[in-house]
Amino acid sequence: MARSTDDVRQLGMMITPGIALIYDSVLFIIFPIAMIGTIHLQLLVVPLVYIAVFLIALRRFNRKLSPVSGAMQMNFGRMNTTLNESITGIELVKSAARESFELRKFLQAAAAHRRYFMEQGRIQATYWPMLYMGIALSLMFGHSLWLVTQGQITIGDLVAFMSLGYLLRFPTFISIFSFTLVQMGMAGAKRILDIIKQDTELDENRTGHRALLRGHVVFNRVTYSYDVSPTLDDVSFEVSPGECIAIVGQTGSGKSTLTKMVNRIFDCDSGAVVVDGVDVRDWNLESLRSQISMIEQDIFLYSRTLRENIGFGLGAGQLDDERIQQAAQAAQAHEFIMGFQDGYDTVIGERGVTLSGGQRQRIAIARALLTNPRILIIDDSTSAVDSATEDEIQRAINNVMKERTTFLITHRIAQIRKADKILVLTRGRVVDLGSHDELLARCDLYRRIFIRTEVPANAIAVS
Amino acid sequence: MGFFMDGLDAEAYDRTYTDRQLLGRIVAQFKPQSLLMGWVSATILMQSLMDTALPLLTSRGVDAMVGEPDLQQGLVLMVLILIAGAMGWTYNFVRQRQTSRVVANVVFRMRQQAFAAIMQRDMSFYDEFPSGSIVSRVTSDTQEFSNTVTLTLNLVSQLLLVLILLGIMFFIHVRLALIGVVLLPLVTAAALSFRHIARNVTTQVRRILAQVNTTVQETVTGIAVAKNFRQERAIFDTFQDVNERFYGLNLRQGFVFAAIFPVLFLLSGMATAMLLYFGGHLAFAGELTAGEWFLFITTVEMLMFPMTSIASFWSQFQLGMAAAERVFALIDTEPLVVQHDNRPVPLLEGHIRFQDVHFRYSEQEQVLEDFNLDIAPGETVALVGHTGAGKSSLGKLVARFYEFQKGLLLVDGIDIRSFDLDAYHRQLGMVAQSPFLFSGTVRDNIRYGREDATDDVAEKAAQVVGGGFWLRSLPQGLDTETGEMGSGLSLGQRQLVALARLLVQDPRMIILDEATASVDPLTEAQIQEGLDLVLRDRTAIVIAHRLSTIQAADRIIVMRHGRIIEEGSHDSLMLQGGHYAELYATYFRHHAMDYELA
Repeated sequence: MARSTDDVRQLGMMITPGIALIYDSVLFIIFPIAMIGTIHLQLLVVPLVYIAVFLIALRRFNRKLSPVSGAMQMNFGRMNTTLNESITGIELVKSAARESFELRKFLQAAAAHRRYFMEQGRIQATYWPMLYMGIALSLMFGHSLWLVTQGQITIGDLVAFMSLGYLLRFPTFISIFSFTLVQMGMAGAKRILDIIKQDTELDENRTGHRALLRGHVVFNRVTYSYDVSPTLDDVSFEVSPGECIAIVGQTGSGKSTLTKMVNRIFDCDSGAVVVDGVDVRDWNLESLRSQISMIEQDIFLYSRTLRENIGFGLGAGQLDDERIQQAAQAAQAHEFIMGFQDGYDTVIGERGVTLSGGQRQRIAIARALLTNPRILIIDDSTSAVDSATEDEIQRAINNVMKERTTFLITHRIAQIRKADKILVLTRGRVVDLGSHDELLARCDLYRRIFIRTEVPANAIAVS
Repeated sequence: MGFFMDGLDAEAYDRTYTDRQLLGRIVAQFKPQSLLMGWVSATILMQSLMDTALPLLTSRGVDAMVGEPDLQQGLVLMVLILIAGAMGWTYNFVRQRQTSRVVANVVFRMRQQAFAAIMQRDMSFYDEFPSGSIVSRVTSDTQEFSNTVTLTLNLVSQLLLVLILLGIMFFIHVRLALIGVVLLPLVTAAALSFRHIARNVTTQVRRILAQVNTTVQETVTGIAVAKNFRQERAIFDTFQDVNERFYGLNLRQGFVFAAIFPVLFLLSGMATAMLLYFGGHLAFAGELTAGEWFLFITTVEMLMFPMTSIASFWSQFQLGMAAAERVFALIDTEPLVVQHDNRPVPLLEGHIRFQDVHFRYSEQEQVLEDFNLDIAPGETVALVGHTGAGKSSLGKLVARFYEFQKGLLLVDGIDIRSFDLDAYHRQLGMVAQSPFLFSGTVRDNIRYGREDATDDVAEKAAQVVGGGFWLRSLPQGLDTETGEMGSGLSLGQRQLVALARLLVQDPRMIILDEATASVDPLTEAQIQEGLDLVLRDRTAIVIAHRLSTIQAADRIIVMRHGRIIEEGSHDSLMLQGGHYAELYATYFRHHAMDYELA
């Protein structure tokens, strides 16, 4: 994100002053040359040769400079990252007494930066066109002297010619600067194009199946992988309409991936996800998604009024105050909203209004309720809340789950226990599937959550 | 900061140095480079001389050709021009190389000093300066300063050139030169006045750019929500609206900028034309030779550029000085935590004792007053209380991150202020609420606990924590990259890594600030097991947020307003029905395994 604004800025710099300077430079070459031509055609020889040599030298200069500048830029970023880590982690650094180690790490980066800086200075100092300019001026002088002795031109012509020659110094030395800008701009433009050209979205499947959703979901031997992230391996289960299935697993076990296959944020590699007897890939995407709602782990709210946030799914201009309030009440949000001075008109983020994790969650639940989805996906892992808030959130979730098929990823043990089915996942594989009592009786992994394992005394010594 | 900073409205910050002090500090930074600086100064002078030699020689050549053309003298001059050009280039080469060396060395040294300084500071320093501002002072401000140094050296060489040229003009013809001396400042003044207009427009553009960025940020971060609720179109319209306003202002800025330089050139062109007009008259009157006339034109031409660039130089110079001041301010901050002695630390038993300790972060709020607490070796103490009760202050004082004002803090009966801090910290382990990891592999991070720890030790520690089951949640096991500041790992995984790291460090005392955010139940179970393991046989102060940790502690200390008001076991405190029972009902009730909706 920051990258693309920066790229746009570089592209802007390429045009002004970059291209503008090059345009000036071109004028500073064309006009002196044209004027010299009017004095005496023979006088053109040295300036024209000079310009040819200048252009070649400039190209070679840029080829040498740009890799060094690029490396320096990257190193600067690295130095910043290292430094930022040392400072953010200062408590750890101090408590582990590793200050000298951090200093060494930083000095390595700083020394690399010094090296690149001097290397860049060396290349910039070796700007050959300036030397060629000196040689060209002396040759121009000699040439015009000779023409004067031949009586071909006057002294006045000589003065004019030499003055015009000095004008060529401008493009010679400004080019160091302008071509660097153009190069950076081109690099930025390339990155912007890369983003624009990227393919978007799965196919909408406009002609696909449209229907009122009942909420019967079947995973049939679903396998899915993408390079780094969690994979699913041969996952099968079934959820009846109105049932709640809790998914339990460690980070990276594939919990979120699994839920995202229901509304086709991902498509499986093999097997099938079937909703109401129809493969999700055969559903009209709009019809499918409009009946599935997701309450994400990191709840995002816009910097707008609470009313607009809750009614977000209704679209601007179709906000129905009564329905919004109903939803807020069901989500246990109405009370704290009325506690704000501006009630539903409170703008999030303005005048210091911030919502706690528990409040944000209830707003998100209200937002989801308003669209009346048939399938609900809740990825629920809030920050710490007090017990009273916890009660309200649980009530809100219970309200929202009523008569809806629910996929529940939660840290709340009480919610897991109450689910109709519990799916235990490790590394994308189903370890077990059953009710709380069934799993407690037969699944070691599940039992571990509820009964604290004693640590054997001999396991402690590591060093 | 008087003179240098006049009219600088860029940034409000701690201005603590006089111009004199600041200059002194800067000069001191250049001292070690005096040999190189000598080179730079000499080459600057020589280069300026060579730069003026070119038109000077040409003008002599012109004069040589008037009347009876003297070709031989002309050829000699041509060779001299060649030599002057080549030497000018060589001096320039030497100057630029040495300048980049000087600047690189100075910046390196400033960064080294700044980093070494901030590593020595206690935690109150980090409370005062946000990490972003420290980073930018060490890297960006030093960079800004170096740009200014380079620019200043360039300007010095240009000014030198101007002086030499002015001298030549006066030598050629006094009256003509005087006209030039009057006209040149006018051009400079015009350039300066343009700066105000430009700055106004730029400020407006910057403001709206901030809006564009916020809108883009919100659009991108919230894209999942927009898609989920199918409101992509509405969100796009909002962005389009802001973007169009940005476009309009940019257009205006572009127009102003596009106008500035042509107008400046026009002004300097008019000044040049006037000089030429007078000069031409004089040449006709025979007061000037053709060569002098040529020299005069070239001189005026060469004068204009430095004059117009001085205007833009000044604001850059101010920025550079402000940047340098910020860096020095960072280096000069006084540490508040002071050790009286540097005693070697024996292997500690971990007996911690607060004796009438007074502590406050700032003048306004007293945190601890006459505080007394005795923690036995090997004991685990859970601190419970509302936010601001002073729980974490206890841990930070034991870690010697802050200075207390009165009383005694003894570890194994020894005054904590007399320890060699490095040695002391080696025997003290800490786990933060949100454990910090460096970018690198998980293995590197576990090893970080001790300087000489081997991979083997790290592996063993990882296997022991939570029975090693959590390692299966890492895609590449111990070789998994943690990402910048550990961002690639979940909170639960980071806690487990921190526990393994603590095992590697093998400290005698532990200060644990328990995470408030919840993690998935499977990981949670492993963290609890890991904690049991790490806390065994070590003295521990736990700022507890979870019921299970509180229940596992040897003693629960209930704090309120910097005072201990209750202590004991969970059951006895619950029976007592005091503040602890209240805290339980407010914060911990829903942690219980048998929690049911009230």
